[in-house]
Amino acid sequence: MTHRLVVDWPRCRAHGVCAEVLPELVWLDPWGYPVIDQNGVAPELIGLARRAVSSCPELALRLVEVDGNR
Amino acid sequence: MVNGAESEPGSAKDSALLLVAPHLVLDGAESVARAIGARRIHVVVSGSRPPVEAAVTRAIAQRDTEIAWSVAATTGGFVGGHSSAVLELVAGRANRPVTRWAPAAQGSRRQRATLLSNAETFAQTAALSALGAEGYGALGTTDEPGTTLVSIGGDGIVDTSATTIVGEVPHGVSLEDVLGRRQPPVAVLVGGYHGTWVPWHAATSVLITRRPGRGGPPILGPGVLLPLAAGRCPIQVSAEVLTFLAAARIGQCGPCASGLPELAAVTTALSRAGRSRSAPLGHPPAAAAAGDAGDQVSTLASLINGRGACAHPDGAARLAYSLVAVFADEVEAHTRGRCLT
Repeated sequence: MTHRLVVDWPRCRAHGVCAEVLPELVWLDPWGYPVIDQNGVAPELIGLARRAVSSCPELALRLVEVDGNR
Repeated sequence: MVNGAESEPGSAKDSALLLVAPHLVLDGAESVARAIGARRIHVVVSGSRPPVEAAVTRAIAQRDTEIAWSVAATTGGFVGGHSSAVLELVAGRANRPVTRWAPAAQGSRRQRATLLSNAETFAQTAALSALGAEGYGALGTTDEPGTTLVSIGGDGIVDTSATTIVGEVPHGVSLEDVLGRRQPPVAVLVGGYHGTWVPWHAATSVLITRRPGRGGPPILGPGVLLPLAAGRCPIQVSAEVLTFLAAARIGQCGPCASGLPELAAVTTALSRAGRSRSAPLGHPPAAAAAGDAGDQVSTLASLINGRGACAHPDGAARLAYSLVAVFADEVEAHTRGRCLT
């Protein structure tokens, strides 16, 4: 089981907090919306990923568990 | 849930089925409902095709069944036909796509567990029950038995008044077999406005399949095949389609709201740059702005791809990528102020 950060796009309002909290995995596109590293969240970054999730003012970011084959 | 919303403008197969053989679709849906123990079937049709809604309502009234049927018409335009938007509509909310955290069949707090398929899939199910495995497999290939429905557009592509032909074709036949004609097109947009360009010289090797693999045949999507007539510039047509797609976005997801109009604008600028034929080769002023237009198109496509609640930006990106890949020479010529068409 690995973890991935997933954006709830209709909720995201480009506050950019996720990129501030977790610059290792989140960049911002030219319009300020997050670009998420698609390789999943490494175990040592899970704590920061959870913080990015809880820091989102729109509750638009989730940490989800995915099967190894996806 | 029977999704007959068919919001793709070039698609007419579900409308054709529901107008000509509605009971085939309803029979399929009912046998599936019985198999899974569902007691209610929702049929969703396009709000912009009233005759289809009337035909479905009439057909349901003719049926003697214990199933509770309901018919709903989309109000959400192009993206209103997306499966999550259709589920929202039937749940009594706005007909717009939402982020899906679990498969519809699994259910969630927002929605009861639902088996949702396209209208054609239910018709295929009914055909399979009626014909039996052997009869159904008489057409198609061993790996992929049976047929699929396609909508073949006129040469206009973005001309919605052009006549669309709906056909049933066996899996495994080539694009050339399906479209074979005396005046071959330059290319075919396979999959409709969210589709992939296939140059005509490849049409013999591109096979009709619902199981495209990575690097394999193009995604058939709604089964729309749009031939590009000789004399029509693929960049201009792509720009027109992307402009249509940008206008059809509902703007609830940031990357698509911002990026899709930019993608349409860059492609349109590239299209216009090719018309400055009189400019000398080298550094024509009109083409200067188009400089790295091909790269810009790819970059913008990658910035919207996969970044929305529905597949609308993904489809636009697919079209843009294939324009740059298949018509690389044309794109390059346009940046120098020339059109090869």
